[in-house]
Amino acid sequence: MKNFLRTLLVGAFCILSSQAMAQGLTLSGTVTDKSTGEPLPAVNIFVPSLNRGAVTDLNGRYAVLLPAGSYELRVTSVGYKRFNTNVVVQGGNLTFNIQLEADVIGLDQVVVVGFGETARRNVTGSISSVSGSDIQFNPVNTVENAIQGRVSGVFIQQNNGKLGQGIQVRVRGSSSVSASNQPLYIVDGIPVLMDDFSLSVAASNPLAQFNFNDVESIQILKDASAAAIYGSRAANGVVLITTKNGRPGKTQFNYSFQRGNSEPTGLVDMMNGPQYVNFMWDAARNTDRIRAAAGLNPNRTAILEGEFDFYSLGTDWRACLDASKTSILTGTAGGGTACEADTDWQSLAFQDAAMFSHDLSASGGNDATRFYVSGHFSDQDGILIRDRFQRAAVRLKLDHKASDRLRVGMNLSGGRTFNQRLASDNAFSTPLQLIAQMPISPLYYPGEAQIPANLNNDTYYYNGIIHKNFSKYNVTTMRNTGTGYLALDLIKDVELRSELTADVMTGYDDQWYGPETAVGFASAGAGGYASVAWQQSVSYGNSTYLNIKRNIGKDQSFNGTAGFSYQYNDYNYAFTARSGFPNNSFQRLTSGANLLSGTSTGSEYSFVSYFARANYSYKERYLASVSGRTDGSSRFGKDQRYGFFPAASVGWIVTEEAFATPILPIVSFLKARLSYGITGNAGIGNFGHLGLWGGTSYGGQSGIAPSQIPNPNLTWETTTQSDIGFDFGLLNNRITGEMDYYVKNTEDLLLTVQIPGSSGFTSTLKNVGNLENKGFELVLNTFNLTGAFKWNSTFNFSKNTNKITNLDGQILTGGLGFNRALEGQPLGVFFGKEFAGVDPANGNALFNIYDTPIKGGSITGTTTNFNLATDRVLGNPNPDFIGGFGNSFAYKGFDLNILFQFVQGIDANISGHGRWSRGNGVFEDNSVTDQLKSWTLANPNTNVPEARYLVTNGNQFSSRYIVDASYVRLKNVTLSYQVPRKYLNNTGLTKVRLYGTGVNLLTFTDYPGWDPEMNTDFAAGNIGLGNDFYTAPQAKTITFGIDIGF
Amino acid sequence: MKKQTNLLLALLISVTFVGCDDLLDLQPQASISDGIALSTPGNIQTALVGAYAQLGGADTYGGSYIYLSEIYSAPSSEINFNGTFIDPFDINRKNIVTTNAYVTRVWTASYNLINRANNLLDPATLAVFGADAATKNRVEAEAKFLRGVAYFNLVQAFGKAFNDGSPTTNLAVPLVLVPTRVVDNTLQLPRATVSAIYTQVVTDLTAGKSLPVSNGFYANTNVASAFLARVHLAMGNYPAAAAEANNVITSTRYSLFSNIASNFNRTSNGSETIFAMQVTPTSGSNDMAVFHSPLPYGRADIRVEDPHLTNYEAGDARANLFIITPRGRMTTKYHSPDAAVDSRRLNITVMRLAEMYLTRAEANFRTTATLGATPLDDVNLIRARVGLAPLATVTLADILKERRNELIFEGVLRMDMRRNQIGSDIAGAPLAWNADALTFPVPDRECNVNPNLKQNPGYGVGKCAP
Repeated sequence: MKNFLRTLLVGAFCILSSQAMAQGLTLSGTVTDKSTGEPLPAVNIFVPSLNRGAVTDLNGRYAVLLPAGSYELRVTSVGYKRFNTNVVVQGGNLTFNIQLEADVIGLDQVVVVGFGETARRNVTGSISSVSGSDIQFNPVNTVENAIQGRVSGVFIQQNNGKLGQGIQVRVRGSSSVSASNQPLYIVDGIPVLMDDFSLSVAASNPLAQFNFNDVESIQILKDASAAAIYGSRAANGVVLITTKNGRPGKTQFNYSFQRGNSEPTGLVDMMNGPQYVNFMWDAARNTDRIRAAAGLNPNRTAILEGEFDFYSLGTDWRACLDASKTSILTGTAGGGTACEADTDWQSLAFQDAAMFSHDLSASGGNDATRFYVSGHFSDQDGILIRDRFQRAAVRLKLDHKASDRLRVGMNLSGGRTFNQRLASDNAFSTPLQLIAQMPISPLYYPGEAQIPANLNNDTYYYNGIIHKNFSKYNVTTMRNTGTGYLALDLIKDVELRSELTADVMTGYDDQWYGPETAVGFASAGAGGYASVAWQQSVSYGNSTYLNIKRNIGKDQSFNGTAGFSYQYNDYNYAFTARSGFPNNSFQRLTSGANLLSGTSTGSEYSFVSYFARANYSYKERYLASVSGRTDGSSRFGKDQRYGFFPAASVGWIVTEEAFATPILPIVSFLKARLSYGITGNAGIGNFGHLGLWGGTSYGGQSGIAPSQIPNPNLTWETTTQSDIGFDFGLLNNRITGEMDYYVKNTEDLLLTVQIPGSSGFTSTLKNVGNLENKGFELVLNTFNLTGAFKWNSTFNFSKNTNKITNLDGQILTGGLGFNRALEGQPLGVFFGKEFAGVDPANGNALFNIYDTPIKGGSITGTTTNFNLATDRVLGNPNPDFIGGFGNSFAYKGFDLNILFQFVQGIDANISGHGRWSRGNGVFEDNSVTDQLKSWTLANPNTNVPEARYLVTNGNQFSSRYIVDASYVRLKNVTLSYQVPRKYLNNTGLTKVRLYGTGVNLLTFTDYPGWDPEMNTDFAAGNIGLGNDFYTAPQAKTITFGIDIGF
Repeated sequence: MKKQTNLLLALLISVTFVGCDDLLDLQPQASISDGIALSTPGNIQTALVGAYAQLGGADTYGGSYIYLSEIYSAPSSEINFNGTFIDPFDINRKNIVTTNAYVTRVWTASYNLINRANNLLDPATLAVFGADAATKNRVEAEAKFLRGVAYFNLVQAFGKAFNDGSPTTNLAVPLVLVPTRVVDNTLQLPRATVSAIYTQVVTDLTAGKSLPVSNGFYANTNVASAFLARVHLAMGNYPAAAAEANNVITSTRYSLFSNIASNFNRTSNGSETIFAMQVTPTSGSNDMAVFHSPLPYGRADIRVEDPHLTNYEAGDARANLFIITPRGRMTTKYHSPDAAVDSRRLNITVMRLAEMYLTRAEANFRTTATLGATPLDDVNLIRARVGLAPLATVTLADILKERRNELIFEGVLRMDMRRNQIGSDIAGAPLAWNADALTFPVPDRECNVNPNLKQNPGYGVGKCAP
């Protein structure tokens, strides 16, 4: 804290030393697009020798005040080639008009890098970029959803279709087994909080508060040289999000509105009443046949019928028993018609899901002060019953030039989200677990009015519809992020910049369960249960650094950055629960009779870092960059807390060489890049190095118990990455692209190491093991048609191969217990017994016995004894390759964008609709119709074992439940029409754009569940991948919107 | 001049950022470090409470120790785990995979308790009491008692029965008597023999007998004797079993309830309660209710089938300790008849006086002794309480039948079946009392991290030592 004060004082002092602006002549003019002649707003005009510039207004006009003289003028604008020229201002004001050429290859696009920005031409690392305009008004929940399929090297997978929930983002594969694999997110220079405030076992998404319509650009720093400036936390890549800046000129407003609807991308084909009754009845008969043969009481059919009698609530389920079958309990033949009650429980899990959003922004200012303000409100229903997500967000960005030397500014954003959450996939009350209910169970008690009070509470599993009607789970999250900065030109070419940042996230979790619900009824004392949790995570810090830019002679240029940063985080949590409410109108804790719980806790961490980077270029064709960062973290013990993370890279723009001239008509641009560097990971909990005792209690008395075994040697996990890449443009840049090959080796893994349970502990955190990611990425952009009818295509392809090279013999499991971290295998492979199919002679499930465990070898036999089958690697939940293919067409004011996304060679474990609903009738759960193909004497050649009620016959976890979850998805289709400007004259409007967007419209897959993009929320983790446990599908959404500028 | 100012500024800034190391010195807020945890007598006493908390956990006497005993041994015609939790379902079917999470947690939770006890028994810990020998002795005796109980449950779960083959060569579980303070290879202990573990159990429980007569709801000398009685019965040491049971009975601190149902669903110990796991609205676990009680408190997974009722004579009050639920018949030993009471927040009786009478009766009968009373009198006492006519003469079968009917669902069924050589069934076929499938496998996770462990027969080798 003391240090902040000092920094502030320094800052204050700096302001005092500012000086007045010089006077002179005016250089002014208009900047236009060379091909269309349209005026270009927001073009930067810069006079390097004076370090002075201007920005064009809406009409493309600019004006710079200059003393008489000769000047170099640099003109830059996003999407246009840079334009350098010399002007001589003498004797009077000068008008100088400029035409800019569109930059299809984007070489002069500004790329934001850590603590600075650079032109894409000079980049020597591997950076993927997404423009804000590509994702604006995309009717998806969060920014990660919006960039799915648009960038190479980034695998994005949403856990499920519930709103505001966890999402997995992997940049060039998983580099850690136990520590975080989440990239570092930097929004406008602030490492943002990624705390998961979820009280349920299912994670929520902390970026959901962020309004991604404010995004100007997103850069994903993938290789070590790009990311190393963020050293300690960059091993998983860095996502740099830059929001829009104010543009000087007449204040420009933009308003947008859209509304639409969502539905699930897929359904599972569950049995109806007659199918279910006959299937289960046959399964029970099969069990009784076996029991009778063994001399045991063949009473399973009677048990089943008894259950049916109970759960059908007196409705006639025997009506749909085949006429050829005779009820054991009543001795009457089945009716062979429809069931009296036949509930399609799956359909009850979904709702009509509407959404709308409003966005209003304003941008403007003058040469000294620029501003950008925006407001956003959206309200989205989830496809699952009661799921809802509202977001309100505002942003204010101010940049002020106090003098020629001093700039100050701020960037404030506030966001509030309100999420009606659902229970985790593992809870009976989660909507999709409704599929397990017996179809013969009515939704309401028969003969009663169909109102919530009469919902059937005598279902086989707890009735989730009761939960929907008599509970709430509302999570309100507030996010305030602020930066204040001060930049001072110390001497020529040297800028001192200091940023104070704060990120405050506050969560309020409000739950109530009426006495009608299982939770509410079961809580101590009648009258329901309610709890509130309050959480706050506050992160603040300071980054202070010098930026040096210097041209040495004609051919060399140098720029460097060196500085310091500090980040501190304080987390606090409080929770209270009460039960015993007078009636359902009382849902606040004040009305609850019994205090059940009152607790609080907290934690903190800090990082101290010193960093430096130097970039050098010679003749603009030989590029080199070196960077280093020393990080200290409170998460490690005193002797191990500092890590040093260096990186270096070189680039060579071949096409700038004289010898390349002959090939220029074919190869218009070629740059080779090479980088190497080390990044770190400290993404573990706090205090992992200490031996700890935690609090507990017994019989109302307090106690303590060992909770963690010490490891004073705990330190950084490090990832060494090499990258070789080419950027190219062919045929006069009609085809451009990037190609990268990389090898990432992670060592000293921060591993949750299993230790003998006989020690009293089961695991400890240790630096042990290595893993490797290797991959290839290709991006191609083609300009197929460039006339009045424009057609561009983009294609990206990424292949990452993950392999654990050393785990020190550890076997780590995750997910539903069947994902493993295994040496020599990709992280999270499915591991278990291999299903050998069904014995045609008797319908028994068979499992393979191999002569070699794990992998390779050959089958030596089969067995019905599950334990005797060989443990094998059964599948890989990491994709072989991923990518996207986009096409955009433009004609007059019409624009059509079509984006396909693909994920191939990925395996999944179907569990909910697998072991339970595809368990050939072992449980009373309703089954998927493909179980009707189970073994019978008449159907001996099948892959579904004989249905046997209450007898395990192949429903153990095995390769039977591992399926291919590859898919190709029509991710986004947007058709828009922009009304030509000429029709807008005299209307006061500058832009009118109408559009329709479809998300996830088509999914091509062989996946037998709802949606192949899933990872059940309660078991998702680094190892826990690809498990489907009643996991909600993604939303298929269609919206229509209007976008107006004025 | 300006240049100098700038330089000064730069200097100032660099000075500002030197010595930031103290910014990284942070301490946890909801835990305390190893160093101070056991540094004061007060802290050590709370650590003892912490050990009891583990004994009452869901994977020990808060659940697993009791219900797994029953569902793992009973014939399928009587007790049917009918839920969709696959791990206990498999245990009930005697069809256990080595990764069975419930089996694994019995192992890890027991050793967690043992480590808590070993921390208390560390000489450095006990030295903190200095001259206060009374407190030191009590803490030491309680910690040994807790450790003995944990090992008794472990040896039964993972070792063959004491009467099965040679206990001096049959393997049980690793014997750990020191607290774990660092992770190294010394943690990779081999399995000690069944007899070595039983010896430790007897030693530890015997130390527990030095506890005072009265110690709240915590262990006292009688609790230690009661457990010793159970242990000696399992070992076939009948005179010792009779003697320990007699100790408890003659302490006169306990008396039978007139109504057997009074033993169950209690919020505090009663006259017949020797030892119970304490569960309050806000602390403790009761997984017994989770599996035996119907919605909304529990899952009603452990279903009692009709043939079980044929075990009871007409008029036996114990035949009424059942309730028919939508998910079948359940025992009411863990389900409050008052629908408004959350059964998960009730105590779990671990040891009660009736067992002592039945143990004394059996041990006396087997040694033709009459320590304290005749077997006939003890059995008739138990029969009279449940409304059954007294027997004129008593056989071993009578005593065992009485014991089974009295204590069913209370965690001794498996021990009784194994020591009496009563088999069960698997997948519709009979299973011998000493079948491989009737002993838990060594958990897969233990073999994965400890190359010195051998697997039990019938479960393959996996990563265990050959």
